[in-house]
Amino acid sequence: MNCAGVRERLPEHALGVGDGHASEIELHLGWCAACRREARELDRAAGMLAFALAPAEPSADLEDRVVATVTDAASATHRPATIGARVRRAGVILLAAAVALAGLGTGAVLAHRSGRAAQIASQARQQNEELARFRTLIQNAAYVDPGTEAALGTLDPPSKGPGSGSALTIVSPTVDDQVIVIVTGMRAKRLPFTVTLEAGRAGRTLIVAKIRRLDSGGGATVARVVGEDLSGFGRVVVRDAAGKILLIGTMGAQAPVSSPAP
Amino acid sequence: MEGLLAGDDAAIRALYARFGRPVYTMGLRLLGSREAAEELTQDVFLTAWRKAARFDPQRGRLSTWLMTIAHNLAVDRLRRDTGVSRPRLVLVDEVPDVPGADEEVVLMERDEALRALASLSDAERRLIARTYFRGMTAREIAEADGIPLGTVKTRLRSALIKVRRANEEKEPS
Repeated sequence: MNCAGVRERLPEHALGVGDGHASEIELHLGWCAACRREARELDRAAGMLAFALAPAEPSADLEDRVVATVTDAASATHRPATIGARVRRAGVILLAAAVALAGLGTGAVLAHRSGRAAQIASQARQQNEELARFRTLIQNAAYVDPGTEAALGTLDPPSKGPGSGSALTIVSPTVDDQVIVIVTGMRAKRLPFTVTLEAGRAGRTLIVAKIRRLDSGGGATVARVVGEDLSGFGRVVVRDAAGKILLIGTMGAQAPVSSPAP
Repeated sequence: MEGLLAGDDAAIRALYARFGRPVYTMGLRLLGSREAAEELTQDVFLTAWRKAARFDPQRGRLSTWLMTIAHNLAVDRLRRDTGVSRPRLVLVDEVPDVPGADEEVVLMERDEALRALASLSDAERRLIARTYFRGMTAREIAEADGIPLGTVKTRLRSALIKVRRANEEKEPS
């Protein structure tokens, strides 16, 4: 979409009633400073409108309920995925990313299987390319916030062992974060496998999903929308039912989903 | 924001004291029931807590960020509830303040919003109301009014620019 097309749609975009071109607009704003300035002006105007409504008085106990909702969530170490609109919005991104990850998982896994030094040395470059591909695909989904960031990691056995995999976390400033993990070449022994995200040495652990069965290639894809900021979760671990680590990987640095300047 | 991030009771109450009513008001006006508005308010503050670490003051005001979350959630729900009649919009100049409302808590943002709305013509106010507060797209408005889509879009932009310029001198660039 060119500048004229973006400018034409920016007012509706700012007012939250866009016509389904949100991802294309955000993609353009990622590199076009002039349109970004215009968008910022319109966004600020739209943001102001919310305060124009005749004030209504909520129930006296709403404050307590709000506080309880947040403090309960804050004190919990694990929360279930949220429901409703946020999940629906986030799901669009999740679906696009899952499709993308399925593709890159194959390539990454093949590279690991070969074990050749040259391929291992090129892993960092490969991850950058994979992340760039993710960016493109994620931007094709609707409702991508311009502050969205993604991190990618590859999973390997801690010692000799079968299987490998890839993981993607998507961190958004305004909708729930998401994680997608794909494994392949695993043996179907001691199922279910538990996939966790972990933060720091003594940090928190977030159970992403249970893998209850594998496909004919020993593979599985799990994805989850989480009600927790995934920024600090840097490690992905897949364990079997006995708790043995089957795969482990470190997430790369978070990178903006927006495209670089041309 | 650090307090909110930590789930600190006092920090949440402070944020609620400043933005609880505007968020609830938006929910009530857009969704049309107290129950839905209260549910929305809880969702908004929960989302704000989850995303507190991601808030960047360099990118905009806290109020804009929070009300954007509220607006997104409310419009999502409006669209999901297709078939349910949309509530009648009530702008501030159509209804007096709630009796007993504490004037001291009238927000700076509301003053700015009033000033901005006052800068618009009646037609522009109605146009903004149908989009921002009722979730209508430009195409829906064009079809309903029998006017070209491009005209609606041009008028929307013009109205937003007026809103922005009404408070331009007060806002850091």
